[in-house]
Amino acid sequence: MNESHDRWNAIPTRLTDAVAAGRIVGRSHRLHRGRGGACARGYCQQCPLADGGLACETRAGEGGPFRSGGIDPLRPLGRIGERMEPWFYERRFLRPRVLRQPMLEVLRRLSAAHALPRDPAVASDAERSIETDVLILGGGPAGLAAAATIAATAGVVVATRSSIGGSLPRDAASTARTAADAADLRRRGATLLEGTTCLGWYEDEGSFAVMAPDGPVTIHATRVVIATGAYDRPLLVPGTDLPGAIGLRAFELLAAQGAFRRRTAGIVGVGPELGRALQTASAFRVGVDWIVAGLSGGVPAQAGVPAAAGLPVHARTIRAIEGRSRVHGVRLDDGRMLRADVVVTATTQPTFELQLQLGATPHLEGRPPVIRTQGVTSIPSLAVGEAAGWVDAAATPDRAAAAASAWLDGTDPETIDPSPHAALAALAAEPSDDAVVCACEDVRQRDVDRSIADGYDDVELVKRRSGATTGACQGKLCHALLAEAFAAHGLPPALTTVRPPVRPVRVADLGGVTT
Amino acid sequence: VTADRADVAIVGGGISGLALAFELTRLARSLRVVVLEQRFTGSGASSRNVGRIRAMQLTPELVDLAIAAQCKHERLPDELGSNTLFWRAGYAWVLYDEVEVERMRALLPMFRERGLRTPRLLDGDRTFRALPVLRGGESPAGAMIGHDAVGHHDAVLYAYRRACAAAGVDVRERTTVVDVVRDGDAVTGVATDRGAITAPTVVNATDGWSRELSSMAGIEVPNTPVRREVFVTEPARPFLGPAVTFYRPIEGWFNQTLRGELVAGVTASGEPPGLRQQSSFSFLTRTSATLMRKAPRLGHLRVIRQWAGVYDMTPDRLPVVGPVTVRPGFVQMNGYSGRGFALAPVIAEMLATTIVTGQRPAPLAGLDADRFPGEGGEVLTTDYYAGYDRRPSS
Repeated sequence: MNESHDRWNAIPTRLTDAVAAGRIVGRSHRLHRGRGGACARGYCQQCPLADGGLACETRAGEGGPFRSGGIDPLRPLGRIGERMEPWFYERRFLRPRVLRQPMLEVLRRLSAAHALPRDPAVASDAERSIETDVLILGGGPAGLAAAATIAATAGVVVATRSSIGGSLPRDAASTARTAADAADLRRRGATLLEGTTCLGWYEDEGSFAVMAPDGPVTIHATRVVIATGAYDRPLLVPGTDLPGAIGLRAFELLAAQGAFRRRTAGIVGVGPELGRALQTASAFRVGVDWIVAGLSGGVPAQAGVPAAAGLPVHARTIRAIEGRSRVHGVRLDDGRMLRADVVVTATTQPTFELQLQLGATPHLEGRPPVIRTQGVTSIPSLAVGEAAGWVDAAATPDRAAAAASAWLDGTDPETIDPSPHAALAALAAEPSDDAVVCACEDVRQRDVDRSIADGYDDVELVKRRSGATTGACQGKLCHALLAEAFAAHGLPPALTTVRPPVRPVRVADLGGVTT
Repeated sequence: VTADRADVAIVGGGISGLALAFELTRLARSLRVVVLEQRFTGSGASSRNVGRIRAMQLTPELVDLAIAAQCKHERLPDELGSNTLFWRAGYAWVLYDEVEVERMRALLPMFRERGLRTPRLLDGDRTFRALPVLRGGESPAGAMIGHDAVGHHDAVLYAYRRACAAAGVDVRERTTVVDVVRDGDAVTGVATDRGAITAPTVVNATDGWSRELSSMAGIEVPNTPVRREVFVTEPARPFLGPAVTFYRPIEGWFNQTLRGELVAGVTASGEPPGLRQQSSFSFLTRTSATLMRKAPRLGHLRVIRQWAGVYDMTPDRLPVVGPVTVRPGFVQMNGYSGRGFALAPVIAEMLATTIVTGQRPAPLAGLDADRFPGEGGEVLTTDYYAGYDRRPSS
């Protein structure tokens, strides 16, 4: 358990319950804004499960009881800080001179970050190295189907962050298929690295680096399949960082564990992702109060989703997710307020960092933009599943197998689907001042606006000035939002450099000892 | 299109180039100064360094220069009208064998003589007390603790950027210099991918890229770029004040930033020279393994980002500053050998005087751009102490 929560003097509870209840389980380190620990939202650093792995990678609840809390004596200062820009120091603490140093000492002590534990960390085993023909990154339905096809003719190594089958709950048919693919792989003697996180492609060394449970592994592969799934793609509106505002993936994880049984949710989404959220609500009997389906949208007809029938569906955009220390609901563009305990935003951003490290070109698709990648990579690569923008989960395994087969034959299957939700624009109104751009570093639209107005009109300059994309989520959630914030000024949306490692990794796990 | 004529064309829009532009306009308000930057301001070493401003150096001339540099950094908020987050965090030079301890003991009188009164030499036990973060790690033989500072590179860079804008300096980003134009021996301007600029004085403030630009001007220099890597972790509440450096068994360093992140790096003994800014995985494992030996509490922190930048190394590890005699109009301001962030502001002040008045402030004498004959000298990039032991005493 993380000691930083002790000082909030609160009661132990289960993370699942706390997140579903919109309770504060952490704080943003700069402004002390309450965080809901909605794991799939990437508030990694504030996550109470951080020591056992990122919450967004750990099944909620596995960490047992932890302390959640709501009182933070420094939050009032954070509220004052909310009125300042991230580079507030430039014009402050200049006079009197003698106070310059003490002010810095005070400032650094205002952090809401975790405390460094007092005991020494224990190092992992030393780095090892393996070679393979094809490396499959991702052990969900798409990765396993591709791996099973490829393993028939080539050596494969499958690296998967959770256990085989992927981290999200699936329906019975999908679970049966992944089990069959996994059995097939084991029969053929494929190497399955479970609990293994890919840290990136290192062009300098011509290898991948992954973190296995026993320590770092470098993998030399001649080809790679990227089946690393997708993140949530927050909307550029105020309040997306409030406890109780969660993404589709957090919703799926928590619903499967029964966290919402006594609670009701409001769902904001369009297209297939909205269908997925409704399917989840129906399968795990989560009450849905209302649906905001965007300007263009009705509710998609989805097999096995009777839940949408009779629900209020609002064909509008949302202006904000509202609340003070937790979510109260959403404000529609017509000013109406829709109340809910939990607001689920069902939107998707395919994973993109590995493709970019491999040399693919970023492409910001649609407005608001979603990051897609295209072009030639350092070693031949194939993207399948959600990483390629595939939205039809039922069709994914067969499609991944077919794509892998064609790829092996030397044809270049066009696997990258267009953005699954060009309809994002139908969901969020024009960005307002308080829209959250980067939740880790508490950067808002107005900070980007001021930066651009001051002449810092390069995305790299805004990053360095505001801290946007440099937080603990490593920009997973905010690269696209920063691009969107730029686009609001008519500037070409651009990404800052996506740097390794792809996932946060403990120094102790990297600094292995030779046993 | 802005005017294609300037009094001084500075190539390189890092802290060095912007600082020089600022100091030039301070000395001569009417001077037309243009700064040319191939990417965005600070895109090279200026936004890749970790902002250390250490006065404790191994040679008297470096100590003098570093003290002047530290004072300049301390004055910057007043001169630029912006808080640059100059932070007297303290500095700990941690020693792991008796040879190092004796070397430091021998340095103390020199420090005092130059006016550096704060460094104290601690034994192993007192080192643990002064730096509890080392507990659990291997026992140090001692530490030299000084009152040195850390700056914030972005705060400094942007303060200069604003000051330059206010002074009317023409800063052109996304502009690549493709040639240095000459008339006979003398330099008359530069050619860029966005047109030519005529200027009687062209300054090479490109550090890692200095050899390239010098060769465009027909000058062979010994400057050699070497990659240095850094990683940064998630923030934690304050656990460490001083910036820590060690040189045994290999050169490495770490410190906690004002924002609470740990930044760290351990060098590679076989790092090949070259202009590379790619990150390596071996850097991550090497640095982590070294930190686990020295300060295993740090093992709890998670690395969230790594990057690389280049040092522009010279044979004597001193910057190259001033006019090049054989190439009138061409002025060097590079070769910082890893001390660019610390030294650039004070060097800029002195070089501006040279450019405007033709007079050379005394401290620049040892940094003369003509000091490397012909083929130059061997550039040492591995062991830190050896880089100074092998220098001919002057």
